[in-house]
Amino acid sequence: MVKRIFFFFIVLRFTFSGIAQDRKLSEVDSISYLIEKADDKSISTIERLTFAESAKRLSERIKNDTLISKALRYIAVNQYSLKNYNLFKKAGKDLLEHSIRIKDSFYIAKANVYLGQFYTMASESDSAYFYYYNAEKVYRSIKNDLELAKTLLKIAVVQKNEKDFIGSEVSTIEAISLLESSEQIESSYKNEFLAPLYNNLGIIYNELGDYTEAISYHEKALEIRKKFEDRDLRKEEESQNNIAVVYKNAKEYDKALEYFDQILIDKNLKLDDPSFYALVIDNYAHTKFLLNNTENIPKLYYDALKICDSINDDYRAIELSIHLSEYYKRINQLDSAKYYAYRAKNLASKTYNDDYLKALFHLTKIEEDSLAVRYYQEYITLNDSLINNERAIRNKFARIRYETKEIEQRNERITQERLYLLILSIVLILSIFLIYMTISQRAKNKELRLNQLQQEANEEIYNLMLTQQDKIEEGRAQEKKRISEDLHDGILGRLFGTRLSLDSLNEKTDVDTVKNRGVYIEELKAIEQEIRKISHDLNSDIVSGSGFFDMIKTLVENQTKVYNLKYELKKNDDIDWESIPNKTKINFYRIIQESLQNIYKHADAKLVKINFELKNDFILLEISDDGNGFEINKVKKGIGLKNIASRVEDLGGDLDINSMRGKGTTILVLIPN
Amino acid sequence: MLMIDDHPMIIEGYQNTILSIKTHKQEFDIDIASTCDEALEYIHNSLNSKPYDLLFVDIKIPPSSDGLITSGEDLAKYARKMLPKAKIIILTMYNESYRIHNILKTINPEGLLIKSDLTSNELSSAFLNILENPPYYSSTVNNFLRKTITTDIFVDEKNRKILHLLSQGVKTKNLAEHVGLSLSAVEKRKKQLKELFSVEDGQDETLLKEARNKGFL
Repeated sequence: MVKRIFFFFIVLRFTFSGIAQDRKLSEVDSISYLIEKADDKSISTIERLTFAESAKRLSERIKNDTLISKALRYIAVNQYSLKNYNLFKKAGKDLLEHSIRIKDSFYIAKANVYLGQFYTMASESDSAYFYYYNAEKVYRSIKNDLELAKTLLKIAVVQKNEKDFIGSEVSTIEAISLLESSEQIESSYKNEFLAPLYNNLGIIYNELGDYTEAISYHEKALEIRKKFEDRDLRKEEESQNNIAVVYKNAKEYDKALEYFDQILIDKNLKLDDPSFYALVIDNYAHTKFLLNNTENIPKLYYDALKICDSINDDYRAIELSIHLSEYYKRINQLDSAKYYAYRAKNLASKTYNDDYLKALFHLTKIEEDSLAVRYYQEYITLNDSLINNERAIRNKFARIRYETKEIEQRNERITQERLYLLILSIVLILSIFLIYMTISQRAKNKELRLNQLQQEANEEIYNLMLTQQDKIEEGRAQEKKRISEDLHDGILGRLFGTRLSLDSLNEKTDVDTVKNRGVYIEELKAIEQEIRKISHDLNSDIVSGSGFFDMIKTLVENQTKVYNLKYELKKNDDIDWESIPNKTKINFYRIIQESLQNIYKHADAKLVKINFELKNDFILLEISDDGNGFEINKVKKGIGLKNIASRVEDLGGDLDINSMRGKGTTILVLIPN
Repeated sequence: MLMIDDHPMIIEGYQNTILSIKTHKQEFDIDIASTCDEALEYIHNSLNSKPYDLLFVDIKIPPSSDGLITSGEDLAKYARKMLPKAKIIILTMYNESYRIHNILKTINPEGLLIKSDLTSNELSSAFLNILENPPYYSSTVNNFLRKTITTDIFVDEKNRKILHLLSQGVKTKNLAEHVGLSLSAVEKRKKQLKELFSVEDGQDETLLKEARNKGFL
């Protein structure tokens, strides 16, 4: 009671505690404690189950996947112990979903085993086999020999139950060899599972009629069981029973009876395991019957029957009824024989399997001919269908193996295909990207190169202009020097001479002197004129023409010579070339250059007229030719015209192109000054 | 005496001035040359007969045809060699310190007259002085000498030339050729000069101004 209250409060505390980051670690510890308790065999299964369920809730809240798996496992285990098979199934399904999601192979396999166990209980062998097979595959892949062996044992049992003896033999032998050769497993563990495996082999060989082998394996199992630290008397007695049954089948009745006697030494058996006790008694009595030793016979059967009735063991009851019927037939009490025979049939009709066949067979031996025949026929039909069922199940097992293999292969192929597709699309995207990059890069390069060329051309012109500028300045400087020299040498000298002479004559007053003075005064006049001339020289435009215009003239002269054109080049003298920015001049130069090129390429003209006009605040450049002309709308796309247009736009001006087929073309460029 | 000048007006002026102070006792024989070639001819001739006592030399005269004598300076130097006893009066329009310095140094004439200083009277005085008691320098030359002697600054030949050329508007990059130095050497000298003349803003113009002030230009 105290323990319960204590446990209740613990659960309460953990269920309602809030979750804080700093408490996360201690929560993990708490949940681990709960899980420990869920596996604590000292407390009741219900308590264990409650611990497991609390553990699940809490680990879900803190989203710890490993703990969730553990919790779900113990829920399943405890539900199984409590025989809540539907809840057990649900727990198994939950565990399977969860472990698939978190990709935990160990628990995937475990969950499959639980589901296999459920379906074994539900007698759906094909489903059981399916889940066990899944578990088998997982254990193989994670190389867990012990669990693989255990699973193979379960599979072997399912196969045996469905009479797939060969399959069961294969599974069992593989399990045995795994256990024997594995270095992972301790030998105590090994023996724990070798025993049931040998037992299974014994059963199989018994069914296949290889009695010597059957006995050898059952003996092996018994030997191992006897060596256990915690000896399970029941298990040992089962082995002994199995051995006895083999001997019975081998018709070595005395040996069989020996083993049965061994078992019956255990006086507690009747109370501890009445079902098994009944079985042993039935086998024992039947063996005796076969030995023709009818001492105690019907009484033994009745005892056993009574027990079966009290525990509702129909299967045993059928066997006993048949045996009783056999007995009564032998002592010629046909009514009793028939009574028990029909009793067996009726009991067996609930399941329509081997027991029913046995009952039918027995009836054929007891009944009159007509009925017997009918029962024979029924027997044959049922037998055939049972055999077909067995075969079908065996095929189903095989198909499960094959199908899953097939599905796996298909999945593999699909994954591979998907991988190829992914790689292909990546490669495709990559190559498209690369191509795009290459193309755009090339385009950029082209553009850059063109720009570079433009730059270079502009630079050339600029340099030309600078040189021109230099020349002009040099010219000016030269002129200045000339004037300076003129002044210095010529004028000054003469003035000096005149002054000196006049000075020397200053004192004298005679006629000659007066005449002389007159001469010198005339000289002064001459000097004045010379000064005026020099002054005038200074005023006039020192360097003839404006440098830029000279450049244009040179360009036009040269180009028209090459292109074989006549030209007329005019300008408005009021245009002040010095004040026009270099950029504009460069562009003018280039526009004329490109226009001349265009005219040469397309116009087939004879004369080109170039005129610089000044209109208010605008400079108007007019370039006209007498060539073929062109359709303005069609040809605006030409590179030459495009360049001109972009230059004009750059300068903030207007471009007007007039052309008529056969009449020539005029390009008007209007640039603000 | 030989008067060398390419302006006949000036020769006339000289003649008038000299003649106006001539006393009865004196006899002047005046020859006139207007180019180096003519001058050379006269000089050579005079060597044979009567060597000249006095030469009036203008710096700016057309050079000789063989290109050996390029100016009045060269001519004066040559005349010195040829007529060591003759007195040389240099008359020139050039009033730059550099020129004056050079003329004094290379020719050391008995008279150095800057034309713009001259009046008739002064020329007469100069003439008389040179005859009796050389040397005679016109006022500009005197000023130059005064400044040169009183200044603490010393400027060597090449630097003088550099200053002179700068003041003529020759660009620094062309100076190298004229001076016969590398461009970096010229730059170095310019820097020195700027330091010498305490040019604070490092401008060529200021240098020229200072040099002019101190009488080096």
